[in-house]
Amino acid sequence: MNTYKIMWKNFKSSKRSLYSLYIFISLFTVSLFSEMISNDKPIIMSINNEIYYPYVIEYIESDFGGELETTPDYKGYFIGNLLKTENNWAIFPINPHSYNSINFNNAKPNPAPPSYDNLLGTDDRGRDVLARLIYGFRLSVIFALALTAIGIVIGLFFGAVQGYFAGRIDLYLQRFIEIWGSMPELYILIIFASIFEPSILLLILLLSLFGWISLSDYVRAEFLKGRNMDYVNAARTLGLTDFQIIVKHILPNSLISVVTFLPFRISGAILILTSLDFLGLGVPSTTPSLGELLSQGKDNISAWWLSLTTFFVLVGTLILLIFIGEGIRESISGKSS
Amino acid sequence: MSILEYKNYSVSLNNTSMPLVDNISFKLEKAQSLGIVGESGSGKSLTALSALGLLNKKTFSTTGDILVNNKNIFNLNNRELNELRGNEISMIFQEPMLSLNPVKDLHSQIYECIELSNDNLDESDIKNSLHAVGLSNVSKILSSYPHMISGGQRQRFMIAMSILRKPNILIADEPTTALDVTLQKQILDTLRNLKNDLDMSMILISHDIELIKRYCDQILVMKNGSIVEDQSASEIFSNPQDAYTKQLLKFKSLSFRDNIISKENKVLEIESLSCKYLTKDSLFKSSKEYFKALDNINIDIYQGESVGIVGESGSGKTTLAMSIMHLLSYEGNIKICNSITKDNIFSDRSLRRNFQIIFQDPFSSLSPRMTISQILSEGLVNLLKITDREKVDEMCIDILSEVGLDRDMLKRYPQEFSGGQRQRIAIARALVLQPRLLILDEPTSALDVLVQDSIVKLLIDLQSKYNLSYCFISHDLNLIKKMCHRTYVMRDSSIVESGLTKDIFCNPKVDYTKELLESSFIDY
Repeated sequence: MNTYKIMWKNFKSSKRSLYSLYIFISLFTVSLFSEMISNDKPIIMSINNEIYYPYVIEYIESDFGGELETTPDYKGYFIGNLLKTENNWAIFPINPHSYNSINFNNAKPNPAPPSYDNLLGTDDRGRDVLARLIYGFRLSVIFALALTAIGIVIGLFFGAVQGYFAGRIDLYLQRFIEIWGSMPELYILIIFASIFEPSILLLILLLSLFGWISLSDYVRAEFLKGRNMDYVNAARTLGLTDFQIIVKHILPNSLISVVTFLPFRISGAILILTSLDFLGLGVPSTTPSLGELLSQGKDNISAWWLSLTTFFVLVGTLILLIFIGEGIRESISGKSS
Repeated sequence: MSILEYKNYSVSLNNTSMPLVDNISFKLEKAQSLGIVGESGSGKSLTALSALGLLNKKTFSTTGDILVNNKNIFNLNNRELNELRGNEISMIFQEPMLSLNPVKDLHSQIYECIELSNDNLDESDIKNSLHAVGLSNVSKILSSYPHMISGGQRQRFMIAMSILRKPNILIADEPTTALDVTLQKQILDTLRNLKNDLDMSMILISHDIELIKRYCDQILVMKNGSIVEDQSASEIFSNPQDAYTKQLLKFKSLSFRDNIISKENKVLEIESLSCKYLTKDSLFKSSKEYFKALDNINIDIYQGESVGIVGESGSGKTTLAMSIMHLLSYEGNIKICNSITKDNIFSDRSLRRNFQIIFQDPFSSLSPRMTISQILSEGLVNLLKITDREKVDEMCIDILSEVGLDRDMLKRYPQEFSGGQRQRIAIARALVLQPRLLILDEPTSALDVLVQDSIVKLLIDLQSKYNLSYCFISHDLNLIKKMCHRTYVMRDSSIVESGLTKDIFCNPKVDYTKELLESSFIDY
């Protein structure tokens, strides 16, 4: 049986890891449709017997007979009045707030505690915490996946080249990595954050510059081991080129270390984004982010709904990932059938 | 009175009913030497480990009794068992590098035996036991670490450790398998002399029935966990009872191949081949140091001929194979099939189809992530440029049946097969390209005796069918004797003797060849 099939079989035998994987995948899939769950625009609405899809199509207020040429506030006074008349209706998402829509109708000052309108309260600018958590979770996971993927590609490339060709190439690249790895990552981030407008893309770019190093070390070691195996010599006598040998023979045998580290790298990336946002070096405050919510929680100690809810989302995500990673690790080292 | 007795003893893995050792009974008398022969997986090591109570109870379950001096070891507690180990019974393991602790010096390791002993032993006893196993320069050895001394010295040191407390029973589990043939004889002679001097009993475990015959009085033949034969050494060879024993004995007694090979078509021509490794790098050319792995080698191989290359580990055999395959850079000339040289091999990879190699270890020579079909078709696609998928499949199926394997193995992975089957797959991978020259680098040394036999037969059949030329690299003289028309003997990177196999075996000219022949227990 294929090693990955055996791994999957072993992985399935650990119930905790399997359920963690299912929960994580379903949460992430659901969060991909955040706009359907949490949005201040109705999914569908009917005004004067005409059907509108504000969720998909951008309307302006004059389309509904208003005066302004701008996107209407669907929860504001004008649309609200329209909906009160008979035969007009609208279906809002379950949580009728978007991540940066401000609730102006709140009875209490911001940050407002949980209420019927804002299930988990609002942050210090009147934005719905639940919406920001849903969108923040999605952004964190996508960010982490992207960072991990880029890191794996670069790490595999450098590790493979170093390990396979060894000798002088390995020597020079290893020195380069030592110099590159000793650059102060955090200061570079701070400097760049003050020169450029921080954005999620810039963060991915900057963090990718350094994130691959730890992985390339493992890949290099696997390749150094693999290049001396007899099947690699056999492949040479079968006339394969270096590139073919790397891709077809050594790489599939070296991927185990990459796979094992995958969940841990993802959880690490989520933590990095959160900490940078917490410190104010990360994404701008219009972007939904768990770190920013935590930092608001720190500034408003009495607003427990900010820090506690974010804490649970963050810890939940990390625990799920750690359980998955543990399962993968055990599926390799553990009793193989 | 017997000092060790097994009574209806069985071992099985927990939660399985298949016994690994199946209801065995035998006795070891005082000062007797008992040999246990069998293939890997026949339960010989489990049997031996049981005597020391070393089987993990969580993994194995046992029934029956083992009596040491009429005391059942299963009734002893841990402290009493520890008394037994080392004082009463000691053990020598197969791989001395793995059984010595690499981060402690040898003195502290052997001193441990003294600390655990009940008798009043001291430093002079260490010296005596080291002398007894033939280690001179005691103080230097005691201050070294395991990696600093040679394999033979390590095994001697292990023996010294195990006899230090003068045990009554010495168990040697394949004590020489990891060593060269010439060392093998020295170590076994040492063991026999010690046994006689100290009046010990010895259990010697090996897969080599010839070796057991020379050193043991009583022989047990084990197969699939049961004892199939329990006889005295002289009896077993003159009058073997069991079919399996007969098979084992027959394997050792094949005769020379002496059909004449026409010396017309040269397949391989090696002229003054040298190869060196950098051992000390330096900026200046003059202070660089090299190790000469091959020194002025000249070899010819003709179409349809088998040529053996014999030598101990470190003599440069594998370097020679790698040079012929053009996997290393070398000096001198290697000409394959009259036209392939190092000048054109790298510009035209497809020339590689003419010469292929079989590696020693079938467990590392097949990529564990590729199916058999992928492994076999790789050369066809790359070297023969066959792109028609159906034709490739057809050729793979043909070659599989040629090496005696089934076509439905194509979709499976190497780890699902046994060592012998894997080696057949490796042979199929080489032969599917229809090469003219096949290099075999110790093709059977990782395999069991009977599997070796079937591989050798397969190779001989294939040779006559396709008129192949073999370059057989091995330390196993038995194999060379059966397979090769001509033989080259290598030592310290150069060829010391060459000629017809029969001449070399019956009438060796060089002392080294004589020594090799003597230590490999072949009768003529």
